[in-house]
Amino acid sequence: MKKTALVFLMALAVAGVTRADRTVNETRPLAADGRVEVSNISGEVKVIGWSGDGVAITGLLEDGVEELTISSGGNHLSIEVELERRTRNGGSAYLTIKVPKAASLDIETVSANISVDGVLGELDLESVSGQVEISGEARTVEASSVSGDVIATSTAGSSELESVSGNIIVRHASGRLDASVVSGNIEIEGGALDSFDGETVSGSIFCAAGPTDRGRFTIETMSGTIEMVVAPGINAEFSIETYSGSIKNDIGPSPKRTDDYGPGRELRFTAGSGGARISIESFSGSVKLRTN
Amino acid sequence: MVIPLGSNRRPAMAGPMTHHSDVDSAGLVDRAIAGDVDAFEALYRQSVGRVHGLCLRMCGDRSLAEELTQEAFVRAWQKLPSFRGDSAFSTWMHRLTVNVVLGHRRSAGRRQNRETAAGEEWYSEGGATQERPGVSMDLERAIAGLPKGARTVFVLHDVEGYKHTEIARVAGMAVGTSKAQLSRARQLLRKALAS
Amino acid sequence: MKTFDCDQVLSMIDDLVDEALDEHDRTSARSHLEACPSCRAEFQAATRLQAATRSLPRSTEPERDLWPGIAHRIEDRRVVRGEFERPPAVRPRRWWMAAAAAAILVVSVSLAYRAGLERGWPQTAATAPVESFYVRAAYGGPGTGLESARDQLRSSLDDRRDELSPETWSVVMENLLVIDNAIARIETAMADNPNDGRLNRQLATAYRQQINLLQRATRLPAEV
Repeated sequence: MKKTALVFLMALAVAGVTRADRTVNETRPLAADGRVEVSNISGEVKVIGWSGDGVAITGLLEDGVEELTISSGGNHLSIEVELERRTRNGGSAYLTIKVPKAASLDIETVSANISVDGVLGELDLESVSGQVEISGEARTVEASSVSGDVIATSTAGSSELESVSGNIIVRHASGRLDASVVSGNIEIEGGALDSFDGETVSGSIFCAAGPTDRGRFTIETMSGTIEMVVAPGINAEFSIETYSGSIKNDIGPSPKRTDDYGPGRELRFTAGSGGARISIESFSGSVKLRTN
Repeated sequence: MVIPLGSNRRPAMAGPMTHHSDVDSAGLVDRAIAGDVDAFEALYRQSVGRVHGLCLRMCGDRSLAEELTQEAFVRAWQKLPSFRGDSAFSTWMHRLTVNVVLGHRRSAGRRQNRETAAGEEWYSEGGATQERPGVSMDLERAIAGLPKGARTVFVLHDVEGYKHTEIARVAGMAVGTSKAQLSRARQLLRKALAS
Repeated sequence: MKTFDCDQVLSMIDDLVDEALDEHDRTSARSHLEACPSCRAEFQAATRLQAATRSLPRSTEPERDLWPGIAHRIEDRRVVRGEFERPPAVRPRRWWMAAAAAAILVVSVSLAYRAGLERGWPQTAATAPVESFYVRAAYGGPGTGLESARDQLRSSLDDRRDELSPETWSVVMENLLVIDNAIARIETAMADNPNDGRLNRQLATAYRQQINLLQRATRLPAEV
């Protein structure tokens, strides 16, 4: 049975002791495909997939952090930062955590930034105002922030990225991608995706990634602009609809009015031999297709 | 004596949950994942006996067992979205409970108190143990009195049917250690029951 | 056949009981047991222990109902991590309401969907009657429950105002406003073009986004 708790107890009980920043340097065993849960409020959580055994935790706890608790049980490790109850401006904890590559993660923060590099299991990452950054070919990614950006690089599995006012930025991704924001922007660059669902209310969407042969893109906005950069030689059916926005197409035919009297424009055409399907829809936002 | 609220819902005493109740729980699981607390309560009612029984035997302390049972269901609620339905809910819940018991942390003071009190709880407290006839009562008491490592392995292997390789994995120990602990546990129990 | 001495047999008792010995060893051990009363007694004790263990009930109901404590923590847990200096008595009630509202919501979406199919699209001040599958699915209007669930989520969110930082609060409010504006604009457009399927879809999407944001916001960890 493994049951270890590392507790930095409040030193305040001893009168006159001034508390200062404390450093962390701990290792714990973990099964190669184990799960690591991290909860931190402020500061940073940086996780790196390594080929070493177990989990190595280094970092810094500022004054105001009551304790860092690490508890483990074979295939499970939990790391929790707790702040002092007596202070309203709790301290920050900056943690760097090395985990086996095949591990899965469950990370929750308030304002702390989260970054994950080269961890290949299932990643569940959530922050309120922190930035969430993922790189590497995790099996699944669920990442969300309210006001922070969500940034994914070279993801290959199935990714669900969500922010409210932050931006979603994806580079060189493959596999499946779901991106949803309200007022933030979505930017997708490089890579080829099997599926891409992008959705904003007022934010704009820039897409410079192509679909795979039979890929499916659905891109929707209410009032944001949608701009798609289309590679020459693409084989795809396009369907573009807008209620009151404009459609500008540099790669094929011009849009038609859907109604002689009311607003509304649509554009449907096939580029090359078809295969992939790209559907774009807006209420008032303008839509632009262009080549580089 | 206080009659436990759940007593009229007591499931069959032995064995894992039936296949039938897992069919029922599939719909409940979906509803619970969607945030339906009533559905989760129904899942709780179905499985609390099993979960509590496991916690109680593994830790040998009634109030800690209640605490861990609650912890297991809280954890289950949080983890439900990752339940993929490729095993029965009862199986998933069982694994999760084992992890909670093995991984739980306690403050040093409470831990000490409980370690010394373990084993005595079964004598002094009535409740769940009262209705059991002689042999199994003695056996429960003897299990509760085992050293922690031996008790963990014994409960997982002989009561819950885990293999040594599985125990080694969840408890973070070598297979040889698991075998040695089991052998030690059985010897101690034979001795305790013979006297 | 091998012959085993007492020490060897005693060391094999576990494997013997678990039927984990190969046939040769088993036969040899058995023949030792037949000849040796003390080893036999030990083996019988082990067999009895195994039988007694197997008959132990695996299920034991707790003596008290543990559910209230779990219900209390289910939603509480989401906030407790970021929280300090808060009287514990106040939280559960509010969280409980938020959870209830979310649960109602899930049910109401399906109710609204069904009710809408049966009754047609109910009139509201802002919209003309629209025969729209999508809108009915997303927005039941008065009496179908979704609207009240949305109001409940909003009031749960209002209750949490002092638990969220001013920055987060204003981000949530500003973005709810962004969605409200989008809904208002689509509804205005629908008044002119009641049968536009695209608008119906977009309205449904906007309502979904509104509910999503409300749900997320009521579940955020407390910051202050």
